[in-house]
Amino acid sequence: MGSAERHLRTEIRSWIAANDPGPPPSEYNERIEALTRWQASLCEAGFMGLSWPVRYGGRGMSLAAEAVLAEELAQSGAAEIINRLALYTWGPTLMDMGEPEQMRRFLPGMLDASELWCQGFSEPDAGSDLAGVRTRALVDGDELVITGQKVWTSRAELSTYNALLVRTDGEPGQHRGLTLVMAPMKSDGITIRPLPQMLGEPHFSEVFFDEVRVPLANVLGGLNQGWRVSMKAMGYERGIFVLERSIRLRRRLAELADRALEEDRVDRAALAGIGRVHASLEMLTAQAYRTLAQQQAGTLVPGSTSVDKLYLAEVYQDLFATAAEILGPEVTLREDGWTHDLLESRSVSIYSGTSEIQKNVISGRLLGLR
Amino acid sequence: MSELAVAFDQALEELLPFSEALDRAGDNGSVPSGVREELLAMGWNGLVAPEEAGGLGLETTEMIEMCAVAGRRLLPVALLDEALLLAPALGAAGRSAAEAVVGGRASGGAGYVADASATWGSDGTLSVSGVGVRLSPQAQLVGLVHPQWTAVIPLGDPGVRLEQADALDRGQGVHLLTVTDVEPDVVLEGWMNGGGVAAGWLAGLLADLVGGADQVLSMSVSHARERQQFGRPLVRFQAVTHLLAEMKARLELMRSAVARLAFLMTEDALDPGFLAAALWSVPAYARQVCESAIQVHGGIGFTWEYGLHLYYRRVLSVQSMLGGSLDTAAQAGRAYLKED
Ligand SMILES: Cc1cc2nc3c(=O)[nH]c(=O)nc-3n(C[C@H](O)[C@H](O)[C@H](O)COP(=O)(O)OP(=O)(O)OC[C@H]3O[C@@H](n4cnc5c(N)ncnc54)[C@H](O)[C@@H]3O)c2cc1C
Repeated sequence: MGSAERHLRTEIRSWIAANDPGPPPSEYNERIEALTRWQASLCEAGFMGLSWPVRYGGRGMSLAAEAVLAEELAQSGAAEIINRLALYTWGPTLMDMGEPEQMRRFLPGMLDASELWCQGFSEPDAGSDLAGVRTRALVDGDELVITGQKVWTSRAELSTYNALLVRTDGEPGQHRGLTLVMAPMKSDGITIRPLPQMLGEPHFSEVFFDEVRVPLANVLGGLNQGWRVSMKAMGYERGIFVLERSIRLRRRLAELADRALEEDRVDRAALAGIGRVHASLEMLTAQAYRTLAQQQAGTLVPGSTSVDKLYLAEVYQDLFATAAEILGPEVTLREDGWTHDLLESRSVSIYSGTSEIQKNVISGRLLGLR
Repeated sequence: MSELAVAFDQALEELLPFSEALDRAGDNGSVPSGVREELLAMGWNGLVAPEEAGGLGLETTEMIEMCAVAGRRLLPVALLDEALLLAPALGAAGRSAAEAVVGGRASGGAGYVADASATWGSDGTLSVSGVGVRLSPQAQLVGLVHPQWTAVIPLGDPGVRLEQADALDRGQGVHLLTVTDVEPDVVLEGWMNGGGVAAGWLAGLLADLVGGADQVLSMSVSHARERQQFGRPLVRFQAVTHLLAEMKARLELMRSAVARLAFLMTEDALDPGFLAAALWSVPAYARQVCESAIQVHGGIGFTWEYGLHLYYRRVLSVQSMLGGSLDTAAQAGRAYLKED
């Protein structure tokens, strides 16, 4: 960690101390609004896109700077970043594979959260097996005409853009013929039907496309290059994204520890539980740092971020299961927060590639067993 | 791997053939003196000791690489203790005694004092009871590492009692040590004292486990490729590849942990919370890797000849020396609550 990062740490710390609006409201819509405002103010202060090039609105720093931000946000108990999918996955992918014009168009709104992003990969017949995508896109002049259906699209109704995987050629089951298009969610022909999650919140939706017209200029990485683009994006998603997610976990562990101390619940079993979760979180962070260093040095082995994602799910689930044990029935049966997170933790081993799929990637790509 | 580590690896391959490690464990033998001489001649005991004391003064990252090699090749653990704890601890205290360890004239080992079973007398004497230590033959000194201090004890003192404890890790000179009112030769306060002697030893101990886990994972992958059942190799069964993937994930986490430990030590930024975290995690993961290795091998993994147990025993004995899984977790919890 160089002196630039050390300096940044002090800068972020004092800024957060002066500007942290406190924990976001628990009501869903109010929370979304508060989180959006929070990211906008972080952006105005110059803390979004630390590792992005200056010409795209970033600060041109190393990935270590992003780690510093993640740490400081975690330390302070400040809220998470709502447009993280754009900031950590699609922004970097766009900067790798996009046209200069596209970058000028899309990057600023990613940074200041004025344009939220969602990701339309999964379909009724394409879950873990993404090659099963059937949503069709026909080229008509300088437009794509899209017809089909996506499921489980998180925050679809809040998003301005959808990183949408469609089929422009080939048959379902083939990697060939997929295309990634950045589709405006306000387009005619898009219907969003919310699917309440098991948490009771409207977090994800079914999204229907009926002859939706999107300019060809919105294709990322070229027609029929969608598989390559998606794999690139997933590498990012499982890299710094994991560090960002661990912010939330660190904050929750600190809350658990405070509460356990206050309510005199720290017996030997509780100490061991808190210790195990603390240790696992430290290991997750150590792993994420190593991944970042390798990304920065260009030595990251393809598939290795699956280790990070697999372990994130494990630690996530262990934390909230442990919290429930330590806090006991008076808390888990009565209060929303911990119960919410206990339930939510089950999704982490499903989204962005299930834990089984991560193990397939590890055995296939890292151990060479195919 | 660095040139030094490659050379060390090749030397150990010749000096410590796997079959002999098995034999040593079989009759509870210790390092053959010829092997010890060769290692000393290579400068092993001076690995991290300061150059003034005849050592190589290796950086933490290089030291960690060497320890991973040691773990893969099953270097007798007491030699790790002599090089990583005794020599630098004596060196930090400015004793010429460091030279004796580096030169091989003094031998010994080390152990970890996890709990409150140690007491200090007002006259600066130390008492501990039933601490697991690993010792070279004819040991004269033992290093004891406690979260707050590191001490080197002369084994010739009448207040020292040693009892052989070879149930778990035979051939490694494991003993239970009881010390009554003994004045240590050297006392260092804190983890990072003397340039991080105690932290360096613990990092080396954990790096050794990384090497062992790496080795049993390679053995498991080769076995699963070759062994056929139901007309196909084991690697065609997803239940098996998923076990191997979990082992690989654990191994990478162990590597990240040790790399971070080295980084924090180099930056002089190691906090007790991270160290305690690593002391729970790395042995726990190494243990999972070894247990899965035995499972993936089936019956042959359970045989004496095949030798997976040598790695497994090493992990179990380190984990137990550090206090066991539950206790190291509780220590990590205590360290976290203190920082929080
Ligand atoms: C909270 C949440 C948010 C989500 N957000 C989005 C989003 O924004 N955009 C989006 O596109 N998708 C999203 N998803 C969908 C998610 O990506 C998929 O659910 C996931 O990829 C799994 O696909 P599936 O649900 O069809 O399950 P399936 O693929 O049918 O899997 C069912 C089970 O079979 C196992 N399995 C499948 N194939 C294999 C195999 N080859 N080897 C071993 N086991 C296998 C799986 O691991 C799983 O346990 C979200 C999901 C959740 C839970």
